[in-house]
Amino acid sequence: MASCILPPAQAVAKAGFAPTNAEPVLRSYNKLKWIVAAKRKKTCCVENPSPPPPPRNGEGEKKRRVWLAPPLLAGEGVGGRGFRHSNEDSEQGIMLLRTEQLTKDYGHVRALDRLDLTVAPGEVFGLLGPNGSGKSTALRLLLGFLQPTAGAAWIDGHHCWHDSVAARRRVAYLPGELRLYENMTGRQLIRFLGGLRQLKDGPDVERLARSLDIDLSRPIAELSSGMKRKVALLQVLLPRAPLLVLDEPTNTLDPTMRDELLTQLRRARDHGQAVLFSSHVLSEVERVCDRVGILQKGRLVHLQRMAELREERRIVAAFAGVVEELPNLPGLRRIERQQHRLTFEYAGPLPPLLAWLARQQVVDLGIEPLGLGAIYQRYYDVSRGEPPEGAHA
Amino acid sequence: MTGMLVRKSLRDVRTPLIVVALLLAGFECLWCKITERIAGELVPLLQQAPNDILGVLFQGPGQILRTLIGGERINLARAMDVLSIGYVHPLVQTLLCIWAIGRAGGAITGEIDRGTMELLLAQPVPRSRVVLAQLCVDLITIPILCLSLWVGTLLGAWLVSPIAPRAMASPLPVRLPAPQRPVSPEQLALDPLACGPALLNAAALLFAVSGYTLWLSARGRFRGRVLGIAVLLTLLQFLVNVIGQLWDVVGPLRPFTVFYYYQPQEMILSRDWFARPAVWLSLGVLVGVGTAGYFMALRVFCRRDLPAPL
Repeated sequence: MASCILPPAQAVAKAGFAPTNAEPVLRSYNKLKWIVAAKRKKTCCVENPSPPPPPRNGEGEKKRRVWLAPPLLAGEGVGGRGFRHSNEDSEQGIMLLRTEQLTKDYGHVRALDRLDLTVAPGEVFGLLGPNGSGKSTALRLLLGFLQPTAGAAWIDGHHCWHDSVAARRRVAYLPGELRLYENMTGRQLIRFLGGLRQLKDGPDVERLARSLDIDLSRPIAELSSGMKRKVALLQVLLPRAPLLVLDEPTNTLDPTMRDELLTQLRRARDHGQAVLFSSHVLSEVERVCDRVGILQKGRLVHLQRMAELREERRIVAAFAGVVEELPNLPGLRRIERQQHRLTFEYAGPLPPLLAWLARQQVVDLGIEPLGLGAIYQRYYDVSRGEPPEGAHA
Repeated sequence: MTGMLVRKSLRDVRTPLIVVALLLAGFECLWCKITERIAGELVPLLQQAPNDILGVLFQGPGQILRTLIGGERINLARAMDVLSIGYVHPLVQTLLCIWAIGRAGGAITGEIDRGTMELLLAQPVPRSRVVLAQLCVDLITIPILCLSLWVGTLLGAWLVSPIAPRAMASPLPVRLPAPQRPVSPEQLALDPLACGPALLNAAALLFAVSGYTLWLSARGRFRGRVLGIAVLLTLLQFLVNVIGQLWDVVGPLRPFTVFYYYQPQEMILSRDWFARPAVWLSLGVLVGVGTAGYFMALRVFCRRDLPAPL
């Protein structure tokens, strides 16, 4: 066994070969190492990788073949065509979720168009868009429910279609259209779904059930839609999966439970879990998300970091006289000019702007955080046929 | 994991399973009583008539009846022959097919239709395990149903044995004469254990119907539609098999139906059934159809898109 861990030349020498014989072997070994390293760097499909392979899933999976993605650092690969980048990603962590040109066609209809997306561990990412924009399709592709027409997605390095079981082991999913086994009680459902993940019954179930105010002993058929959603939420939160995928999770929840859900999501983020969720409700996305992507007709048209959005302001100023041109400040963008009134967005330090305003004959001034609504509105207008200014990078 | 899926599926089908098993057992039990009446009372009486009344009965449209009870080789004077009809009776075949189609039809499409497949496959469950679980459910439920057939026969035979020739109880004021011609006790002997091997054939039929229905289920979207197609397909096969025995033009199509290979009477009435290649061929074809159905279901289900619940 000891010879196994020796460098090849020594191992060969120990085996009784002369050093002159060992050198070509060493050269071949180094060459082989180089080829393997180059292949690993280049390809996503690794034949017989040296670490123990993940459990087989049996779905389109070839024997002894594991579909792995090369690790991707935050910011790398983000910013494909078709969407505007507000900022560069800055975290230096390996991405938990990554899609590359992910595309899905239903017949002649393109439901999702070349989606490039990454989500880092501990990040809450919101997918926004009107009905039919491709949010649910994107989530269903990640879960391996749909086979991509083109492109691919990886969760924690596992291909979402070819290695779907390994990918799903790292995901807990709350469907948009929620359907539960009506012939079970809440507890039976949680036990059944937990069993499929090899989870043991623990105090977590009761604790979470109490915090979500669920009576698990009641048959699911007798629960209201809101209560059913809470049971489903419980089964999402329980496994502590690295990635939570939630399709419009606050549907049918009352305001108290909505707050509780958002609290749970923040708690999940604090535990290092990533959350990807779609929603129509901008306010809740603003409250909880780190980043937001806006989908429009299947394309990711805008990617927004919420921390930066919070720094941006929408300023409406009314002037007594003629308005000068706006100062040349970085981060200043004019939106509208109406006679003596200017509306503009500004992401930068306030003092230079306030100094400029002080030199003007300002009669009225309103400064408010920009908010997601303003961003979303741009694309909402686009859908009505008005091309937005600078909507696409 | 497969065990959990199997337990869940069994839990879903337990009520219909119990109902179908009781119906099958009850029918077979009742059929023993019918056997007693036919072999012990009706046939000895008819045999005393100067003309061959039974021959007349099975002429013309009666041929359909003859076909349904098992063809020329069935002698109604023999109790075991009559008893064997209980295994090919249209009601039994209907019950078996209803079970196979209903269960397999709802196994995958039912979950998709209800929207619960999404919940299930959101867990780290390979799709192949879902199909494997259905196979396990078949391997558990089919023997239960077959055994219930046998239990019904055993119980019925125990209740009516020994069968003795006697006068029919007539609803008319005229008392029918007791049979004069001696009937041998061998002819009226019931051997319910001889029905045991026929269960293999019944199980193979169930597996075949279940297999192709599961294939339809694996590629379907709506449970009702899948059930409709499976019922139509099965009914068509049944009709082709029956009509093919009456009409030579349709005859060549019979081997393309699963019912052509359902020959339990061959196994009940022949002591040397295991030495007959035709019996094994029938079993092989039925098991082959079922296996092919499961294989196709696996192939289709592992590659298809999962539609969103409506």
